[in-house]
Amino acid sequence: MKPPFFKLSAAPVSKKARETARALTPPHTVMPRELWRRIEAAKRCAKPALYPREYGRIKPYFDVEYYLTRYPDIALAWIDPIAHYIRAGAAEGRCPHPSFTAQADQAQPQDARVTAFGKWVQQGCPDLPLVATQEQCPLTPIEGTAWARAERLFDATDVPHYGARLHKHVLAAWMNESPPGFEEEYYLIKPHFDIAYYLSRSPDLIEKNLDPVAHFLRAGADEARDPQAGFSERGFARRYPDLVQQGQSAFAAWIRAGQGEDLITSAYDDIAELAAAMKLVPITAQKLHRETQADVGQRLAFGELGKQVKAAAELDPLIAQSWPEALDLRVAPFNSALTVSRTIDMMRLQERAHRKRAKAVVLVNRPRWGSGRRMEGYIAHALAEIYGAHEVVVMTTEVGGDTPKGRMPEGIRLVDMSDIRSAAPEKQRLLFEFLRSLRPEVVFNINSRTCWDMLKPYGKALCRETRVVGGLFCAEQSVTGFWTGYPVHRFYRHLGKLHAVCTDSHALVSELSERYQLPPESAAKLHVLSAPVDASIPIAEAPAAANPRKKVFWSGRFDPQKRVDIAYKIAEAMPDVDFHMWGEKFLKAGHQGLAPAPDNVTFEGKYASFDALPIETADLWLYTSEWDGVPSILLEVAMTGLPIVGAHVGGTGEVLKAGLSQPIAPFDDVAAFVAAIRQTLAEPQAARNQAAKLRDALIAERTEAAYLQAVKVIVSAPNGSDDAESEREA
Amino acid sequence: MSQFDLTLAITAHAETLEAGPAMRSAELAIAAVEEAGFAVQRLLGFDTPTPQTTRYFGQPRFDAWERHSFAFADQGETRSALADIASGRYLAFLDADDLLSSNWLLAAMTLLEAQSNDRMIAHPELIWQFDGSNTVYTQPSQSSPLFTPHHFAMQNYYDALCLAPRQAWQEVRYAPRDVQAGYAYEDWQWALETIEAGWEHVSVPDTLIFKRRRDVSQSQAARARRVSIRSVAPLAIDTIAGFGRQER
Repeated sequence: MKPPFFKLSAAPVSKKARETARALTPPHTVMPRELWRRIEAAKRCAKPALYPREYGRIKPYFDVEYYLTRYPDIALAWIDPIAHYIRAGAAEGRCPHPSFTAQADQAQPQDARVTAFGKWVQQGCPDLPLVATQEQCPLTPIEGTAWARAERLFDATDVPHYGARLHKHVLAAWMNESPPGFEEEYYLIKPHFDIAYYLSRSPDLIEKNLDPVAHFLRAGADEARDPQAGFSERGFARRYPDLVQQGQSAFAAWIRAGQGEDLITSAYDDIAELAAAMKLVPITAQKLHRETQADVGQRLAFGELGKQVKAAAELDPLIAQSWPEALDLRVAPFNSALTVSRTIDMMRLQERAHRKRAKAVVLVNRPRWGSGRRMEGYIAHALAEIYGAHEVVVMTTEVGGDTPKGRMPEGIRLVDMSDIRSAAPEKQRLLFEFLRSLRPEVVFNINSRTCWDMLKPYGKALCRETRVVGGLFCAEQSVTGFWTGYPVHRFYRHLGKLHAVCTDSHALVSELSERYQLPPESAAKLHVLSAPVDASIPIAEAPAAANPRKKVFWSGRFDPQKRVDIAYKIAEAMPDVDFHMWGEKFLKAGHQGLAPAPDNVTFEGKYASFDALPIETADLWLYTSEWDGVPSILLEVAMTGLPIVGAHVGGTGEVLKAGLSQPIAPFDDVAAFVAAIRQTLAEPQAARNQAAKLRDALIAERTEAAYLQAVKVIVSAPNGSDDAESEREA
Repeated sequence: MSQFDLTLAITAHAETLEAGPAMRSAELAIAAVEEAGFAVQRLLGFDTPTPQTTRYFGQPRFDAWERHSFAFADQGETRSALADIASGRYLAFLDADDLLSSNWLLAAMTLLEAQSNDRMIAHPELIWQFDGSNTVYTQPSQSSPLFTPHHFAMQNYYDALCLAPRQAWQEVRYAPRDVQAGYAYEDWQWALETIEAGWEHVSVPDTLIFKRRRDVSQSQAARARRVSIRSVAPLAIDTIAGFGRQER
C-alpha cells in the first residue's frame, strides 16, 4: 500500500534518475549503498510543474541526504523529497536541513506558495536556537517498522563482504527513527555515524536490538565509544572544549563546525609530532590517515580486498571473526596510542639530545639539591675531559628541574626524560632504545631508577653493546628500619652484566666484597671514585676567642639518616653553645616523632652554595648520621680548616681521619659527641691545627687528576660485561 | 637458468590440523601463478618438527611439496636455509598456520616484474590477524608518506611473509634468534637490514596475509620477555631521519 502522502506529492523519482544512480559507484560512505543510491537519484529529480518557484528557491539549501535519512519512508517510496516537502512535509513539520528548526506549519496548506523553510531561506538562513534538552536520550530498540523498511531497502548486490547479517542490522538501524524529543542531535549525527563500525565494536547492541545512534547519545559518547573510525570523542572534546556544548557530543560539535578539515579528530595527543616525523602538517597527516582508512575500508567492504577475505574465510571460518577489527583498520604509523606515543617520546628525547651521538652518558634520577659536584658532576667533568663536553649527555630520568650551577661542565647536553609519563615498562624500553641510538662508549648510571629497572629486561642486550657502569652509594634503611637500596637489591643481580661498578667509598667496596664473597674477576669490576676536594676553598678565619657563646654548625637533610634527633640531644646537653642548622626541613614517614628543637638551636633554612655559609663565625662543625658514604659536605668543610666532630659510619671515616678530626662511634653516643665537642671548643687552636693537617691530607689524596685517571681506567678497559666477554671469546 | 619462476617455502614446527587451511590457500595462490604461465617450486621446511607435524605433512596429498628438515629451533635460520635450497627466481614464505590471499603471489610477482628496480621486496597490503587475537593493519610502501623511520625504529612495518628475488635472503641472512641474550624479532631485524643493504619494500594493493595468532605466539613470548632487535647502524640518532625514505 502506498503511503497517504504519495498522491500529495505526485512527484516520483524518475526511472532515468534511478538508473543513473544505479550505475554510479558509491564513494566510501558510512551510509548503506542502497540508501545512497536513492539519495543520488533524488538529487537528480527534474523541477516539477507544480510550485516551480518555491522548488527553485529551496532546492539549493535543501539537504536531500538529511531529509531522506530522517524520513526513510520518503526514500523507500522513491519520492522527490523537495516536492514532498512543499506538498506535505512542511505541513507535517518535517525538517529539510539540520540547521532549520522546523515547526509544523499548519498555516501552510498544500497549495502554499512559500513554505516555512522557504521563508527561512528568504531570510538568509539565520541561525536558529538549538533545541537542547536536559533529558537523557532513552535507549530505544530498532522498531519493527524499521526492520520492515530494511527488508524493502535491502539489495543483494549492495551487500558488503562482511556479510548480509550485519548489513541488514545496519540497514534496520538506518531506517529506525529518533526517540521523540532528540531528533535534532540524532539526525544531525546520523548521516555521518558509521553504524557498522559502532555495532561491530559493541556487539551487545546487536543482541539487544538497540538503536546505535540513540545509544551513542545516551552512553556511547560518555564511554568514548567512537562514532566512526578516525573520530575520537574524547580527543576532540579535549582539543576543542569551546566547540563542545554542555550535554552534547563532541561528534555533534564537529559536524556543526562543518567537519572542518582544519579540526583534528584524532585520538592521539601527539599527532602534530607524528606528522612532523612524516614531514607533514598535522591536518595532512590526519587526512592521509582517514583517507587510507576510508579507501581500504571501501575495498574491504566492496572490492577485491573484501573478496579475498571472504574467500579465505571459506578456508578457515575463524578469519571472518576479525571483520570488526578490519572496520577499525590500523594504519601504520598510527596503529595505536601506545605505538604513537612510543615513537614520539623517542623523537622528543633525540631532539633534546640535539640529534647527535654521544660517547658518554650519565644517568641520574634527579638534579640533586646541594652544592658541590656530587658523583654525577665529577664523572661528567672527567668524561668531558676525556671525550670533549659535546660528546657527553647527562639525563635525568625521574624528577626534572634545574641542575645546580657549576655541577656539570659547560657544553654537555642535558636531556630530561622525567616528563615522559608512559608506564614503567614503556619508559624502560624507551630509555634502552634511546641509549642505543646515541651509540655511546660508556653509560654511567648514578641512581637512575629507570635505568636500574631497565637493566632487568634489556640489560643483557645493552651491556653487550656498550659499557654500562653502575654507580652505588651506601645502602639505606627503610622506614621500618630494614636495609634497602641499590647496593642491596641490584648489585648482585647486575654485576655480571655490567662493565663496572663505581662507588664513592672504599667502605662500600669492602662491604660488597665481603657480603657476596666476590671472586677476583668480579672484585676487579669494583672501582672507588674518590671525590676530589676543592682546594680553592679558603681556610676560614677562626672567630674571636672572646665570643661568650660558641657556635656549632650542622647541615644535612632532615631525614632519618642524618639523625637530627641526635644533634638535638647534643644541643640539649650543651645549653651554653649555639647550634645553627641548615638543610631541607622535611621528614620522611616514620620519622614524625622528632621532638621540638632545643632553644639553643637555630634553623637557618637551605643555603644556595657552600660559600654562602658564614663559616668564619663557626667554632666547630658537627656531623651526625646513622649510615653514610663519603658526604660532600664533609669534604667541603674540611677545606675550610674548621674542626669537625662527626659520626664514624660507612665512608665518613675516609674523611674524618683519627687524630685530625673527631670521629665518633657508635653514631648515637651522645656523651662521646658532647665530650669531643667540649674538648675541641676548649682547645681551639690545637683543633684548628689538626683541621689544617686534615685539609692538607685530603688535598694530597683527592685530586681531580686522580679522579680523571680512575675514570679513564674504567672507560678504556674492554667491555667487562660477561656477555661481551663471551662474545669476544666466541 | 632456474626452471622455477617462484619458490613458495612453508615453514613448520608444531603445526598439524591448522596447516590444512594454510596448505589449501597456498595451492590456490600457486594455481593462480601457474595459470599465468609461471613455474612454481613448492618447499616445506620443518624446523625441529614434532612427530605429529612430520606425520601430518607426510600425507600423500602433500607429495608435490619437497620436504626438508632442520634442527635450528629458529624460524629465521630455517628461512635462510630454505632460501639456499630454493631455486625460484622469486621466493615467498608462508608459515604453516597462516593463509595467503589467493591473489597474493601473482600480484606480487606481477608488480615486481613491472619494476625497473630489481631490488624490491613485496609485502601484502594488509596483515589480517585472526584466531587468538584479532587485528588488521596496513603495510605501507617505503615510498608512502605513511612511512617514517622514526616509527620503524620502535615498531616493525613489515612482516616476514613477503615475496622478493631470492637474492634478498642470500644477501641478508636472518639474525639468529637469541631470546636469552635479549634479542628476537628477526623479521623486523631483517626488514631493517635489507633496507640498509639497498632493498626497497613495497606494498601490493588488494593482497593479504592471514596470520593466525596462537594463544602464545613467538612474538607474544618475545614481548612478554621484553626483548628487542639487535642494534642496527642506521637507527643511530644522527642517521635515522633519512633511513629508508624513498623519493615520493
